[in-house]
Amino acid sequence: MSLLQQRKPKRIGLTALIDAVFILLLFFMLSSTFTTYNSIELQSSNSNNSSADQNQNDTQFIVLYPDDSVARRESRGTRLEAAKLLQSMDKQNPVIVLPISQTNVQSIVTLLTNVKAAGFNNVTLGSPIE
Amino acid sequence: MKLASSISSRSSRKSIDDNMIPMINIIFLLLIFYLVAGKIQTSLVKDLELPENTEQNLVKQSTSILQISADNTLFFNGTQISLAELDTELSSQPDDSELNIQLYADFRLTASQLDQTLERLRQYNVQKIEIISQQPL
Repeated sequence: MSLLQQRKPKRIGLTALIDAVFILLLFFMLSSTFTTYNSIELQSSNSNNSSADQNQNDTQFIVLYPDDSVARRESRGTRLEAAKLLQSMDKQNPVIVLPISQTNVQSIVTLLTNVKAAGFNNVTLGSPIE
Repeated sequence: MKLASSISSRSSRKSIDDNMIPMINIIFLLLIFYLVAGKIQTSLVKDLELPENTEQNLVKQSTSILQISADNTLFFNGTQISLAELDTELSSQPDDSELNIQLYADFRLTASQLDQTLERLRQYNVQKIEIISQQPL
């Protein structure tokens, strides 16, 4: 009994635990990011070609200029803001975006996002034009 | 004398340990925060800045990652490659495999530069191409 009373509780060393926790903390601080990535899915070549071939007359072509203005391919002289142009288009028909070759990726992504957000489901990025 | 010094060293060690407890608490809190809120993401190559996009469309799992930096350098799954090497890489894929590619393109690239790569991907019948953008901070 007296022996039991004399036994003192062992202290657990905290140093090793802190070392491990610090290493974990450093790992998560360096490797984690809070940036949210979004994706825009492009139609594959097969579905793109078939839909464009089948409904050649229905396919709507949007020309995208480097200053973010857009125009219908048929009336390239009249440049509009994307929102105005999209209002005048049929949401059921496929849309192909044709960027001018100097247009940057930011403008392309913005337009593709706007077109999809406006309710167009069949949206494709076409080859750039001069 | 010996006993006194032993007692004082023991008590100072105890006080150091006690003072460390709030620090450990904070470190644990930080650790839990990073565990819960942080995500381990694909590391972007140097100088690659993604276009910004406010619409939320979460990125799905993909088999391959293709990054194009501002100077039009290609990185396939983290390794720098040329367009010819990309051809080899894509042609070596089995015909029945479904190749999905996430495209991390720098926001300064022009449409003609982007099209060089997209054309290659279309040639090799890549099933799904996703252009990745980031939510503005």
